[in-house]
Amino acid sequence: MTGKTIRIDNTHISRVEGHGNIVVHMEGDRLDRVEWQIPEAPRFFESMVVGRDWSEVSRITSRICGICSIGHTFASQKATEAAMGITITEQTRRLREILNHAENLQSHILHVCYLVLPDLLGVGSVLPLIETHRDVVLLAIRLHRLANETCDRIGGRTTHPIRACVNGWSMLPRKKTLEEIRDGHVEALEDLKTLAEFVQSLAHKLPDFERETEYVSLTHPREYALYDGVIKSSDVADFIQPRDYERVTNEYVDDRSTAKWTRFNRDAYAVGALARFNNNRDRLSDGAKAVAGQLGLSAPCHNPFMNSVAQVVECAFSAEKTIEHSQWLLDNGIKEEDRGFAVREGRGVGAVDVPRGTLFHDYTYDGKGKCVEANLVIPTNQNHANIQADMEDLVPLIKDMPGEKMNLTLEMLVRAYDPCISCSTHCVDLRSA
Amino acid sequence: MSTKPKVAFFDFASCEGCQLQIANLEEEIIGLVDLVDVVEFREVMTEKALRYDIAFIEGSITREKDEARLLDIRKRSGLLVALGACAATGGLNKLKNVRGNLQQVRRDVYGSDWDRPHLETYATRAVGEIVPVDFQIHGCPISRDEFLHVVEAFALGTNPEIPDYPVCAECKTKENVCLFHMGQTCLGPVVRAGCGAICPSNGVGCEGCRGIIPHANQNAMKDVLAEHNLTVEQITEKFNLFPLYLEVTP
Amino acid sequence: MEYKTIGKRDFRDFVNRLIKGDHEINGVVRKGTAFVYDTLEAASDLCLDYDETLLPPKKYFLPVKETLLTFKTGDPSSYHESVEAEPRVIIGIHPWDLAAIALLDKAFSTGQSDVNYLSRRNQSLLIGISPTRAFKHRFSGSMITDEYYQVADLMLVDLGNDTYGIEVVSDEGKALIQESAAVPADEHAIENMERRKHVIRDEAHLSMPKEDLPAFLKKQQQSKVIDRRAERCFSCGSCVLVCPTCYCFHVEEEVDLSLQAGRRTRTWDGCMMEGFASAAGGHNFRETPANRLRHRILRKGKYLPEHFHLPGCVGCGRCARACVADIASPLEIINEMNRSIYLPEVATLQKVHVMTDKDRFFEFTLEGRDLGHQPGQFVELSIPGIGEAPFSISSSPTKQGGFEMLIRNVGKVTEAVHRLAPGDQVGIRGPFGSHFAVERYLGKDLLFIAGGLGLAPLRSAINYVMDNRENYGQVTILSGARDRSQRLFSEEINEWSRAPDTLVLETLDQGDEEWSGQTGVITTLLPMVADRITPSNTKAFIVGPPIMYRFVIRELEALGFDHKDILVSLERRMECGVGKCGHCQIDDIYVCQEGPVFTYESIRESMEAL
Repeated sequence: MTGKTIRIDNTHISRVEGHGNIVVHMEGDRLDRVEWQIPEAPRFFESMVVGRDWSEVSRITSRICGICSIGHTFASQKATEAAMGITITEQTRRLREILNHAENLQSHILHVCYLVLPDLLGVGSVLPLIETHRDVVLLAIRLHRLANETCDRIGGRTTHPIRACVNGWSMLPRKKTLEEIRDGHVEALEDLKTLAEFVQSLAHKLPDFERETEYVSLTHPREYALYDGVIKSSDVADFIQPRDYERVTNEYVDDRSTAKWTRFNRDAYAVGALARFNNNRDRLSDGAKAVAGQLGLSAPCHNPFMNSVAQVVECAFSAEKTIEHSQWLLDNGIKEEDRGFAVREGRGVGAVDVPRGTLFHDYTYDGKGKCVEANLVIPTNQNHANIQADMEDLVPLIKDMPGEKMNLTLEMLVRAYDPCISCSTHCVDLRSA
Repeated sequence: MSTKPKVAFFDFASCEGCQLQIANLEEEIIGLVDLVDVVEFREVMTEKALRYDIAFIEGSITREKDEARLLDIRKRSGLLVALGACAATGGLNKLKNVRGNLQQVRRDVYGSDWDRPHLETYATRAVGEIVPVDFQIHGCPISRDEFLHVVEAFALGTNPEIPDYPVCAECKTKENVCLFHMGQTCLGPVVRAGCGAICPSNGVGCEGCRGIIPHANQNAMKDVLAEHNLTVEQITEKFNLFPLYLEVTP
Repeated sequence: MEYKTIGKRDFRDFVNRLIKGDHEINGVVRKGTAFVYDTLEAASDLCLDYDETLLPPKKYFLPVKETLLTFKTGDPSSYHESVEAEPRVIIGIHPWDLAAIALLDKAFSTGQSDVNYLSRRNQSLLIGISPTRAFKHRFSGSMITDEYYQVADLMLVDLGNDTYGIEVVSDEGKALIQESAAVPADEHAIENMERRKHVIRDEAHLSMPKEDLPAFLKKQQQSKVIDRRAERCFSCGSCVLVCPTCYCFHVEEEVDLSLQAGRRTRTWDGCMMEGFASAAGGHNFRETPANRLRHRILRKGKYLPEHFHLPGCVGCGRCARACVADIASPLEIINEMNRSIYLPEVATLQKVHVMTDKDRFFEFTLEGRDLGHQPGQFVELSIPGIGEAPFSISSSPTKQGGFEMLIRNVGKVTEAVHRLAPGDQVGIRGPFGSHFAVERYLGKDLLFIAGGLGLAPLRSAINYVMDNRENYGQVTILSGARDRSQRLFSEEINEWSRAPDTLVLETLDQGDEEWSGQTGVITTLLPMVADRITPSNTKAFIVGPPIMYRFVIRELEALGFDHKDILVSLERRMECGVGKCGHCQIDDIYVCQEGPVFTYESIRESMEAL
């Protein structure tokens, strides 16, 4: 329709972590402005870690994000370990895997059930669902609590995990604790099945929108990569080592955003559960593959709204892996291990696929173990350009919707990415001039 | 308050980990929304409101435009509560202040783009440095139990009470082995209890996220740390990880 | 009293049988490297060979937190008592912890009975054990005798040959041990038991009979020992929270999330914590750490024993271990208060070194302890039959082993000191006086100005700084002597000058052909370092002959030094060293107490100081 003016100035959209604005100005068929803006206050984390001792760095960077504090902690510790030539033990790695999976589960449940589900059920938040869909809410809370308790018991605290240290743990779980974690996740598989069924019943409400883009994630020869892996792009045949991450990320400043943007082989690329699924679907556990089939998700999927569905698939995966790792630790016995190592100068990169995508921490240390340079690239940084590109393609397709519905669809698009906006505005890039 | 208090949550420069603790109340969320009316909580709901009985603020103030938003919230709120270390004391966000030259900090981060208008920043301030705050909930992140205690107290119309004594008291009643006896150091003797000594209980020395107690014996703390072979540089760094004493350079 | 013996294996069987019964069975178990009381799942958990538990067993009768009443919000008639108690046996309690329980029993039953405490206590059986390990903070031998028999049901003694001896103290204990394979003890075993009860000895002792404590402490209310220790107090409450004879608590109410119901609870509290005596309206009746520490010591040593006729402190040593500031031990505090101010300790001369025609350098050691001095302090040295005289300590507190003094032969005592040889002994009192508080000036620049013999006390501070060099900024040392033969510590001066960011300049009043350095009075060195010094970040320390001070201070003022940043050490005639004999007075103060180190600001207006 010619002559219709559309003005959407959606400031600080709700049900996303951090502050983002959607701006759409259309005059008839003319698209004047389509913008995904980040006005979030930057916190300058690099000025916090530079000059600090190696033993403090991960405790500081953990505070970049409340939801993925565990992911930041591990990416940070992996970078420090790479810089100082430390190889962690199998026990340490398995415990980190459990904690990483627990965070994955906790974050995805929060996102799917508390942030996305209200849109699919036509309400403003999860609170009214306590009355209308009490069983579903209690199920979500049960899973969320299981994941958080697992984080508390392995990491000491679910937000900003205390026990996680460079090269080990300040305290180890007891045998009984691991048994309870394993058994709790076995029980949870039933709940996850119910959740998948419920999501499936609502899947038709997700917009049917496709835009092929580049998908970036970690990849691993033997399993669906989260804690460990090398970098894979759907556009490139060869894998890229984490230490060469800058070839992939290419950060730059955009005027619309206090967070930096990235690009690789196209103008934008996506990270996150859908990207991981597209890149590594075959390495999921059998149970998770079954859930994907049940939910009608197959690789490659180019509908960004399906990121939430991919997250449900990953929930099943994380639960199964938690059972596996707990059992391994029980079979092998928990041993006290010495965390000591020789401090030395060096540069190292740690890459972890956290709930929202691939996270890179890059540190350089001097001989005394003081951090002298730091750079971080956050998953959501890597999604901002893709969100922008998606919006530019989506808006013309939905411009005839009533204003409210158009606004909601755009919000749903942003929410689908599960953005962690305050993370992405940490802004870290300190190189000596 | 005879009707349910209207409660809202806002965030500034933060990691949102403190607001996450509300979601982490799990089943107690249901009890909480029976007690109070959550009328605005951007992270979790779309609805907004014009007036609030209690506004919880997470995060520090790092830009002029944030001040305006905070002042507006203060005007529309009965009680204003700082939620977490970033809001209560400035938290880790004040490490940026310690570094000194803010222009250099901005150059370091954004390079040649450092002075583009949307990338402004100033020395981090706690919420209480901009508007009057009715209560401080400390911690990085907050303790969920303490949060509920505060809400219950306000709902009953009384003042919440939190400890003014050091973390050591909680370590002792929990029968933790003192970290100083295990060759580590800990700021427990000068930091506010109320977290259940969670970090020492997990084998890591207190970092001071809940802020310094009134009349803390800072001199004795420095002496004790020096007796445990920390250099003055290390002692200073411990004290300014979370702002236990401030070195503010505008 | 009946005596029995039991093999350790049989004892474990006995415990396992108890665990299977309906009592809660608690005992001492390991927790990492420490020991705690906990519920026993199996007898193999029990560890009776321990030094000391983190918390005493009082937690079973007075839990850290317990509910006293329940209520429905807003309805005072709904207050309802809440008493939870279950029958239990506690195994492995040391005699002093039992003596403490005897005190708590009295406290909670005298006058009006505390039903919460008593219902737990009356359903508990107590199996004690004599200690098998020393604990360096323990001094129970000075504080308790046989009070533990008032509350023990059975007392175990480890006889060493895989057997416990058992004293069957109470009828309940007798009934309990009948369930085991214990047999009557023969005479030999009883003798063995008596011996082994006392085989572990305390490392430290109270320097007076405990019966004298109440009267003694009554006179110690103004003691400086308390004030000195309280300066380091964190008011963290650790000492009182781990104490077996402490039982103060805080009562408060809490409600459920529904706000409909709640409970009144009590939680351990302690008089050493800041808010303990704080009343609504803002007044704190025990506002300073010194007030609080004074109260604690008096309560343990006087109020409790006078009131209950039982030891108020049982000497377990937990407070001394728990105190991060290392100030809490009642033993140390009382012994320090009790140290006679006039009685010298024996010190042995280790080394003598001739410095000049009149000066000798001495190193002494005390027996069994470090002098524990601060730079700038002095001691009083006695030679029986000759006399006693004050001397500054020249070594840093960081020096291991003994302490050093530079002594000039100018009088009766010093002449006798100069005749001493290594191995000879003298009497030492002290250390006395105020000090150069370099430990507070971390990060500052330091300027030391020594005139002649003044370098001796300054050396104490300088070497402290050198041993902690990275904690300080720039160091400048100016030293003046009369002539080359009077130069002191020349080798060390060289070492100091080689330290990072350290400049040492010397001058002689009178040079000679072999002296290539500066000549002139000490003030001539100041212009040479004026550019290097930032007065606003520098502390200046001056020690020298009386005439020197006025001139040096004038120069420092001209450079821009603040009066509070200039410290001087003033010599006066000191005899008693404890502020009584009167000889060292300047105006209204005693140099041996307020000095010898003063800031110039504090003495600037004095007629007599400079």
